[in-house]
Amino acid sequence: MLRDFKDHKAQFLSIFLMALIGVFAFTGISGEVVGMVDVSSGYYEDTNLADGWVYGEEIDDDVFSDIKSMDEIKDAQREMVVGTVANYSSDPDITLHIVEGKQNISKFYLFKGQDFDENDEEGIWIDKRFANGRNLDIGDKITLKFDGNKVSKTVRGIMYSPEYVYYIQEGSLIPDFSQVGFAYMPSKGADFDIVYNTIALDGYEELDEKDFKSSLEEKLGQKAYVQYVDRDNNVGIKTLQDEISQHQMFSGIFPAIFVLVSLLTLVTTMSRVISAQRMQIGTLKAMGYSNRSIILHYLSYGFVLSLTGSAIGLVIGPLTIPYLFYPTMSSTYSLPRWGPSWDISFFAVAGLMVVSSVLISYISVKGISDENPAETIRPKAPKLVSSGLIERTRIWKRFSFNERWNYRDAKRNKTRAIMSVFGVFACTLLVMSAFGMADSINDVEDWQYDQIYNFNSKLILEENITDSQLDHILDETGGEGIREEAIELKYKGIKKTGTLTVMNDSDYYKVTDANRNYIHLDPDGIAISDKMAEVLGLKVGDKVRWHVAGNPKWIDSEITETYSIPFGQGLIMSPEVFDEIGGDDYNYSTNVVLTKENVKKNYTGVSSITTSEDIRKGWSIMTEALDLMVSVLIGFAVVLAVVVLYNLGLLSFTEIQRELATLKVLGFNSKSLRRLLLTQNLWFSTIGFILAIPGAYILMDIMMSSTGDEYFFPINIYLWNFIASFIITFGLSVLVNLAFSRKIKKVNMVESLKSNE
Amino acid sequence: MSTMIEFENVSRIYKSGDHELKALDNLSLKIDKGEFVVILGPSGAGKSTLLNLLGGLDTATSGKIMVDGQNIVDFNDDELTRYRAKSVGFIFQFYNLIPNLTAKENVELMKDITDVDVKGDEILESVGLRGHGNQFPAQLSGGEQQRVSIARALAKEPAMLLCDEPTGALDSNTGVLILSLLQDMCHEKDTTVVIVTHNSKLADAADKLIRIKNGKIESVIVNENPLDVNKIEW
Repeated sequence: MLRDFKDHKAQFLSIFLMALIGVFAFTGISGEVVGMVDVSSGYYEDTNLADGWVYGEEIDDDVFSDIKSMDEIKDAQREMVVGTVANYSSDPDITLHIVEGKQNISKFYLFKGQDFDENDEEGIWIDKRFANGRNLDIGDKITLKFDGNKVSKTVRGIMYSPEYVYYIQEGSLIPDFSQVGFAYMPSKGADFDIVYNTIALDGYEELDEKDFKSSLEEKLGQKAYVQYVDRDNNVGIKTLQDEISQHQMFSGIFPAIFVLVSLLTLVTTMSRVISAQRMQIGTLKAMGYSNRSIILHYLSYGFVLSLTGSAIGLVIGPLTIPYLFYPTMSSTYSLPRWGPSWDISFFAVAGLMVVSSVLISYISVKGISDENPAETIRPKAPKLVSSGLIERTRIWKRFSFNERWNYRDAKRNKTRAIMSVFGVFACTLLVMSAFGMADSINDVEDWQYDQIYNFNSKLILEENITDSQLDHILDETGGEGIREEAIELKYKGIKKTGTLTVMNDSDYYKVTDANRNYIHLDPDGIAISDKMAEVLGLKVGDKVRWHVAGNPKWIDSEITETYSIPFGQGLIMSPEVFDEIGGDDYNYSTNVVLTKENVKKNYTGVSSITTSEDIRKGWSIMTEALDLMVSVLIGFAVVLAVVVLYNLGLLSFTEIQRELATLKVLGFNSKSLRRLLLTQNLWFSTIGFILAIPGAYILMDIMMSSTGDEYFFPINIYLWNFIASFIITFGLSVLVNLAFSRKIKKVNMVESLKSNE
Repeated sequence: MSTMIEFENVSRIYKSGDHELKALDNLSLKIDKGEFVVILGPSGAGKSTLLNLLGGLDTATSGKIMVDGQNIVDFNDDELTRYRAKSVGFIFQFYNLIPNLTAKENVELMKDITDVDVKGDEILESVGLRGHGNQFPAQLSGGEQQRVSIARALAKEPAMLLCDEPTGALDSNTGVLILSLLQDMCHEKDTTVVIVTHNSKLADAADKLIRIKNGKIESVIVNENPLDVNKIEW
């Protein structure tokens, strides 16, 4: 057996590599997603993250005990949550939780120091990332200020909280952990009046927002509570969840394709290797070995090779690839631990590799060993090729021998030909779609931030801003006032959230159609974004119901036209239309000012300023993980392509070695022999490449349509990356061919001519 | 007649580890242009090695092999390839036809490596294969395949035909037809033909008979009156 390994080392190596790469790519890419799901859900469970939160202006004992006594509720914990400013340079924002009694729900994850102590009147617990950002340690004093109160406490512990997996300072998109943080202290430590405003709830089951809201209303009437948010809708938790889903979507189909390609190549190679052993099998049989022992002997190849390959892939996949993502992820999200996980599907994939490889070995050997040994010792009779249609046409006469030979070789070895085409197809598909994804993301970025957004600063106004304050801002900045609202839309039972933008034609916020051409909206009409219309299933002329979040008044509006925008799906209408259809319930007032100028000055009446630079920076951080995923996919696709092409080239080389030797003896030089092999390679690459073009579009379409309702990602591949895919595919084809030139030089003419095999 | 091929003290030594095998041991011989040469000897005597060296498939360890005044031992790979393409026609025991090409295509394949205007149908006709041009090797009998192989070798109009056990895989009647064809070609076209065989009956047909044993020449006999292959009692 060891001798066989030596003689066929390249092919055995490729079987091993196939199993390895297939499993490695699958578990590596999926391991990241599965790991994040596992780590986050384990974290939520260990810390008993609240199932939902009730927020109110003032939650008194009656309301609290009413809620606590509800059937769905296992436990409830009352907190006062206030925004404070810490006594450090540039006034970092610290959200302070003052917890009543023991901390049983949404317990924090202690990194250092002592556990939360309800009786510790002097203690405070600070989040790890802020502590890092400001070099805080156990025993340090910290002073927080809010509403004229001052809280000075000693840091007892440094921790993470499951309620804060993602948090940012207001108005920015990426967290700066020296500027934002959170802290916990017991209510006993408060020397100010405590006004509880939050209840963290622990339900027996999930406390779904809609269902629980109605039970709450039933129990309490309208009194005393403002808002209920369940776990799935908690901003931080939802953001992380969305990020995970995004990774899932990107990695969803790709790993499966890797597995499929490597599996098919592995199976083809295995069966070919065994066919090549035909004479040996015959000899073994003639010597009196039983079928059983022969089959066992060959099965052990498939088993040992695929098992070691899969096992190594299974172990190193999740231990390598996910770690590429953690630095990026942890700059945005806060989890106490980042790590990969192994899913049951990983073992299934590894098992599939091993089982298929053993099975195909069995079928191949069985087929040969069932023959009469006298027959087996002889080489298999060559398949008859008949002249097909093409050969009868006149074009055939124009073909060179190279082309004729290759055409017939492909025809005679259909499996190998199809496998080669498929291998090229799949690898090109992966490379092209990976590039396409990256391009689509960049494309959308340009569209949203260069074409649609033409402002440099976005000033969010306070609700109670006065007209003169607003006029002052508009005068000073030369900005434009618009109104933005979070709205809920309903059409035929489908309910979606979106954005309402109330504005006239604007130079700072331009409207485009699906082809990215600027359009002017009818000032008397109501426009809906394409994606929102698609999600709701409505057309121009249909009536959509909508209302502004927080205002119970629903309005029916007929849609008069559509526009396209990558993010922020919803409605656009003019202030006049808004006032008219809103009646007494909705009145236009400016709540956002867009300016060309980069506003640094802090005007009264402005609650926050976002610069377009911030937005873009936030976007690039958001897409960093996706870019990384694209690189990983391209990397894998290239490695896979090399192995598949080399392997199939090797199969074909081994099978035509004798013919190559003959041609060499006849006086053909190595160059023309290499061209013989290259021709076929190029044919297959061309077919595979051409097939991959529509394939990539279909694949991207499937993936992009799962981006979620808020995003509109038209698929696009830049010409440059299309060319890059082309270069990669054909470059690899030629490269692999070059690897054979040494082999061609080494073809032993004498030996190949002597035997009949 | 002029000397076309001359071996001067040619040795071919195969080494494997410490073990040395002298396949040819200081061998010298001469072959004239247009001669029909038969090389006889038992298995392992070195006949195939001799043929391979002459055909440029293998390189001598020492000595000179002069062909048309050039020492082919000094040739590099490219020169050897050109030499094979231009001067040598090979005929193999197992025909070695390209299975993906028809009989005619196998012959016309030679267009790619020679300047000779190859007319596949004519050549096939000359070896008695009229009408078989569009058949694939697998559709032809052994004798027919060997004829295609001869046609292919002749297509380049080489200076010599080198045949390694050309009848080894054929029944005796077919074998005689093949040998007779080779002899005719030799005499008609003044092509040098070297046949390696262990069938001693061919001896009487040779212009020159060389016997080899243990890598050395045992004897060289020049037949003044070689028999026609067809007239030998097989």
